[in-house]
Amino acid sequence: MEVINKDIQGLKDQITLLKEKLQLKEAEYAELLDKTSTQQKNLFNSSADLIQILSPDGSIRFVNQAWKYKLGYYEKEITKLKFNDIIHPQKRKDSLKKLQEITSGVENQKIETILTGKYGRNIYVSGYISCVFENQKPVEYRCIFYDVTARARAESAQGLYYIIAHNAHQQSSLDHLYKHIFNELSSHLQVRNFSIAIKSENEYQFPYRICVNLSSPTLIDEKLSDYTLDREKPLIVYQDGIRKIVGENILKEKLDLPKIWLGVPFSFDMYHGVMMMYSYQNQNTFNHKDLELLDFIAEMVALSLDRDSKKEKIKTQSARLEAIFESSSHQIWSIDRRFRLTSFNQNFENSIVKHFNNQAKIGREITEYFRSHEKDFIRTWRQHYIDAFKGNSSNFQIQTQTLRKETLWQEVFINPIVKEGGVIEEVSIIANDITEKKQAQISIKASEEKFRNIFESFQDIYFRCNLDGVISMVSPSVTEVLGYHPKDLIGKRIDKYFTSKQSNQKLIKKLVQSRNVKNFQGSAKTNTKEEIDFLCNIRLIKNAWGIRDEIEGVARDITQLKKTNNQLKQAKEVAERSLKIKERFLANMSHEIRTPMNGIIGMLDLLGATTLNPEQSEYIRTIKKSSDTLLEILNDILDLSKIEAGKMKLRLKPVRLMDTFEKVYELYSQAAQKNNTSLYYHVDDKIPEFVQTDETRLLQVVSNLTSNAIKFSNKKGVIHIYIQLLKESRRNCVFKVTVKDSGIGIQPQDQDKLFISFNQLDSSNKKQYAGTGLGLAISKELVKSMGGEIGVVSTPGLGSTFWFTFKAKRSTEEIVSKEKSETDLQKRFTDNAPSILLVDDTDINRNVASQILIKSGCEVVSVSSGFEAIEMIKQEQFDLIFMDIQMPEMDGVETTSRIREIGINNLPPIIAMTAYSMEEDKDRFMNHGLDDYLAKPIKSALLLDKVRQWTNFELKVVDSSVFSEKADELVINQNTLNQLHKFGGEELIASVLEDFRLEAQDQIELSKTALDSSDFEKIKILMHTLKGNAGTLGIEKVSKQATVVEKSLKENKFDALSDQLEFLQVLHQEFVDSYQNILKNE
Amino acid sequence: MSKKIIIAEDSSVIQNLIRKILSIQNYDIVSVKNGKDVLDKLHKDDFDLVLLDINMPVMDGIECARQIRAHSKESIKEIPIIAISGNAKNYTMEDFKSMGINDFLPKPLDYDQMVDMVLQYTQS
Repeated sequence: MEVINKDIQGLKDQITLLKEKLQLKEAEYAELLDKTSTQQKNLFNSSADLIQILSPDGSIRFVNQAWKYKLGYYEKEITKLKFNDIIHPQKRKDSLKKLQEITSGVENQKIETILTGKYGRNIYVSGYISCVFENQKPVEYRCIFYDVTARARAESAQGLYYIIAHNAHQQSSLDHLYKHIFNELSSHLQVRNFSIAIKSENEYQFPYRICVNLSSPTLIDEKLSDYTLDREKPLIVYQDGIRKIVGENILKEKLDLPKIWLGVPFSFDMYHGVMMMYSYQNQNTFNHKDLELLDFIAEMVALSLDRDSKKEKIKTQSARLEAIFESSSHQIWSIDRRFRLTSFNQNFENSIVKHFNNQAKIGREITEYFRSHEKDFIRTWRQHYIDAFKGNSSNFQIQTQTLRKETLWQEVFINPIVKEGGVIEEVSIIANDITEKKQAQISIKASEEKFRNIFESFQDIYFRCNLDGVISMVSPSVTEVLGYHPKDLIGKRIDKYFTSKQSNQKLIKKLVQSRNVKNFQGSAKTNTKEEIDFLCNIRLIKNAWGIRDEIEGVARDITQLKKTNNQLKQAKEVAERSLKIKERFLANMSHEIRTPMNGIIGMLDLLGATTLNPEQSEYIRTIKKSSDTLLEILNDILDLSKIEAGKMKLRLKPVRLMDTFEKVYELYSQAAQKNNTSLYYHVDDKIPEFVQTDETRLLQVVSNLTSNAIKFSNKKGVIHIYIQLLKESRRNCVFKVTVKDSGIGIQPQDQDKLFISFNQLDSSNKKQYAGTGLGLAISKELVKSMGGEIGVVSTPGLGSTFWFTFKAKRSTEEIVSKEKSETDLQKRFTDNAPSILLVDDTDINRNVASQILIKSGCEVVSVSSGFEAIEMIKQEQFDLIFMDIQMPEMDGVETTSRIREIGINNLPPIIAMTAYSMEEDKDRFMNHGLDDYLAKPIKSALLLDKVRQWTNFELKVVDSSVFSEKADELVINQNTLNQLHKFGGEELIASVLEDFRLEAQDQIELSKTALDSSDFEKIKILMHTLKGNAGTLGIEKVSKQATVVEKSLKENKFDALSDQLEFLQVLHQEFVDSYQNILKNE
Repeated sequence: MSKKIIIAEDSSVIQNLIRKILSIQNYDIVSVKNGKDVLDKLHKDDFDLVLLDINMPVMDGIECARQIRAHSKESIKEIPIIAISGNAKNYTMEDFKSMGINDFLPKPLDYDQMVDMVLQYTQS
């Protein structure tokens, strides 16, 4: 046991020893371990490799010095780091995977990853990871990395070189290229700031610029670029350098400057530039390798830029060529040796389509297009092509027919395309369609020929000369006119041949001003010194440069024409003079005849007042009638001569048109009835009451037409006179007067002649109708002066309708009443016989007038001149003065003014006496102190009217009843009825006439009955009433017959009563027929 | 108010004529055929004027005028009278005046004159 114990003891001791040994060994080991660990750590720390030990949870347990240095962390920061913090995000997944593989037992895993430093710097590493297990659990990962950044960079750079070089070739645009470069630099070298600056004319442009510091001015780039360009080499500049280069003044603004700046110069075409990259973070970011890379990139970019600019140039050039090729109107094509098309432009293609209805195709043989053409045409082309392939250019014009059979002219240029070494594989052809030009040429040639013919056969002289008058061209006709040959004249001054020199200056002046002169008259001398007259049109013409430096003209020999003209002029003057003489003669004669006429008519009036036997009365009546007719003729002649001399003036006054037509009716109703013709007049309701017109002239025209109508209505006829308002504007009314007869009518061929002076349709010796034939001619002129027209419509055998129109303004009654009051007379009251002064230089006139006045009970003093009149007025007091106007030495107007100047109190009215032809001058007399006007020849009635108007003396009635025509009564006096019209219109007329018709019929029948019972008193009363009623209504014939019956009854003559009443019945029937007619035509 | 006129005229032609013309001139017209009727009307109504034909049956114008002027009633006695006459007996104006007739319109009638004269005597 002991043994055992001893053994046990021994064992125990041994164990204890062993324990001690073990403890020692353990301590040794621990010491060793500790030593080893420290050694190991020291070893780790002295290693250039990056060593890190990670916990399984990813926290960092240990890193060596090299690691800390590379990644930039301090010792105390490290314990806070996790695996993820130091691995580049792109590599985390890969790296984690590696760790997992190791954990699952794969040993000594090789790993390549990227560590990220404290400041974001990437460190490319390659190394091994191992895992320490305890109890089969991973407790620690050990990583040993080698920094392979430089190599990675080199590799990356290598890749970059390739990528950029490749891209520089491939990129479609520079913008893309720049962007791409930046992207690559950014991803491979973590470049954040990158610029390309291109200097052009001392200014920088930045086709590409990326800068993290947005506020960084390009100025820094520019300064550094300048610096680089000056040195012409790649540069690395650090912050201090940058500060110096950029300059102090900019620094005051506290700009952020890059820590490191790399720039490389490059140039392309004519430009220089700098490519730069820089960093604001770390000056270690870039190194020389990066500069080399940048230099390489810059070279690539320069190449690209160069290529780009060349490409641009080529593009422009080719665009130019393309433009030339396509734009011109020329057809361009080229062919190879087998005449196949190798190129063509659009025009060529169009031409083939248009002219040959074919398609142009590359490779097609050109002659195919002309297969259908003449052989000559194809042969010509072939020959030219062949020549061209021999190296000869050619130019020719060629004509062909198109498919549409149109002639086509082309001008062609064929040129060989000579390649290097003188090889000709193609020829080019340029053709131009000159059809129009050719046709123009042909037609120009034709027209030239035409004009040459005209020029040579020209009868007038065509010439051209320069501004100095030097002749450059003259037509051959000059020989015939002037006797000179054209070649004698060319080069000579044109004015040498003029004989009318004085007007040349003026002519040139006028020509310069107005560029052409027409109908210039001059004279020139021929080679035989004869003078000719010419008429010339000249103008300035432009030369080819648009400057007017030449004169062209056409001259015509008008010598003969002028001679004839002069003769004609003379003849015309003679004719005019003789016409004037004739007119003056007529006017004078008429005037002269008037004075004796005055005597004749005046004396006839006096003679008629003496006791005459019936035979004498008859003779005197005939003389009077002839005198009146003669006077009318004289008046017509005077009117016409006045119209022809343009002296006829209208005297417009307010006129009541109704009055005018009443006057016409009054004047002609008797004459019409005498001619078995009924005269009616109809005034349109729309006619204004008053118009401004010359009543005398209007009356003259209507009277003329009416008297003609009566004259040519020899059967029982009807004449209607109408006046209508045709139209009314603000300014004027247009009236139409129509005189319609049922007379003999006028042949159509004669109708135009009617209105010509001295033209009577019946000019035979046995003239049926009296008259001067002036009436219508005068009417025509009068109507013209009233702004109207005159005309006739006629059917031979049925009658004529003469019409005329005239214009007149409406007149207000205000004007009318004013006019009326102006003409109101102020009568001179005298109880005794009026004493009258008569002033007239003509004995006859004086005699006639004074005789008439004396017979009427006036006291008359006659004097024969104005002087005498003035004297007489000074001595005696007169009640009225009749003053002749036309007197020698002192005329009536002057005499009157002088009388007024004397200033006599209570001066008598002075009445002008003047010829009818002077009537127009009435106003003039009135304005010169004359009070009234009396037309000559003196008619007793008119003369005495004036005395009655101006004095209050009851004149003795001079009985001139011998001349008074027995006025026939009218069936119905329309004037009387028209009086009714204004009170009640047609209705009143119709009802009153109907009343009358019935009552008169009763009265006639009652009278007949009364006659049977011899109740004469009853008949008398009936007839008296009928007489009054008929008279009131203008039923004149009935009224007259009733008067006759009444008279018979008063005189107790009953024998004829029955017949008289029968006749009354007939007349009443006549009225009944006629009044229907009036009502119908109203 | 329009003036009232009495017309005495035995011829219906003239009577109608005057009546129509004066009616249009806005007079109130009563027409009769003899002098007696005139006096009857004057008794019944007031008038401004009498137009009197001289030659009328039953009672002629002369007698009628005489009776009017001799009338006891002032308004009748004073009424203006215009005679209308063919004047077969050639009375002068003085003659008419002595008969109490204020004025005279000769036949054949002048309408203007008539209208003027009627106006003249009805205005006052």
